[in-house]
Amino acid sequence: MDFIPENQKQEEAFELASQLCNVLNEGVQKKLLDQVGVHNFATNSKLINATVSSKGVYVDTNGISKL
Amino acid sequence: MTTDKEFKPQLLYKDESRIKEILKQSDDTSEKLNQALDVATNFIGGDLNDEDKENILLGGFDKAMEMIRAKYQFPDADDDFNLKSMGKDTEPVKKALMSSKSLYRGFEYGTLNGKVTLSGNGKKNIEEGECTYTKNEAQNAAFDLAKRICKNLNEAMSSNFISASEQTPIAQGVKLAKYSNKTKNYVPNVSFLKDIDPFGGIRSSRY
Repeated sequence: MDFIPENQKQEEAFELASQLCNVLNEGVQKKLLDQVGVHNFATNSKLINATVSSKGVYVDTNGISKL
Repeated sequence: MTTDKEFKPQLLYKDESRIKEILKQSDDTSEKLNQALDVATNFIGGDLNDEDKENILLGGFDKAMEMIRAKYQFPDADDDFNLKSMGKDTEPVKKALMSSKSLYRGFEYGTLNGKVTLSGNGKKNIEEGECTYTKNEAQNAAFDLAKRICKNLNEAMSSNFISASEQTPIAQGVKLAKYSNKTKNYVPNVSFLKDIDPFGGIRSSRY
């Protein structure tokens, strides 16, 4: 289901998180970034997340919805 | 038609503080050389042109002696006699010109209007020497990505989506960017970027 921001902060966070996911996934895909390192960063971030099964990092809509 | 793209090095980093430090060393040395020239000019006497002064710095005390000998009133008498008759003491000029050649050669100096100054080319070379450029296309691609990552991280930080406690985990996870305590923002990690080989590989110890 698509995430619908409920306030300006969520909207801003969602946009930033999307951009961050794009550059990080691009970096991993081009082998310019270490996959494990990016995964670790994502799991510690408020904006993005990653799971073992996920293909790259993704926007942490659950975390953002609490903003 | 060729499809090969010509590699264009990109400036990764310019060490401004090191440039400032070297320029200061150069100024200190030129000041010392100008003081040495004052002593030598006083010893030799008369007007010396830029070429004479450069020759003195490069030739040292021997050159100064050669020039003063041309002014001897008693050319058949020895140095001691002539110098005494002229009231000249060799010790100050000997001391002043002791390392003049190596000091003058240490930087790209020129002698202009009677003074030793760093040449424009010399300054340019000092600055270039402290610049770090990308060396291959893989570094260019990584640098471009690093700039975009930094832009996003800095935006996230200014909007308080990244806290101070998250700065280290980010730096550990995303090696292309690092948090700068000096500028208080994320900047491309030059020491990491410059180690990327032409195939995009990174030394394993970096991870």
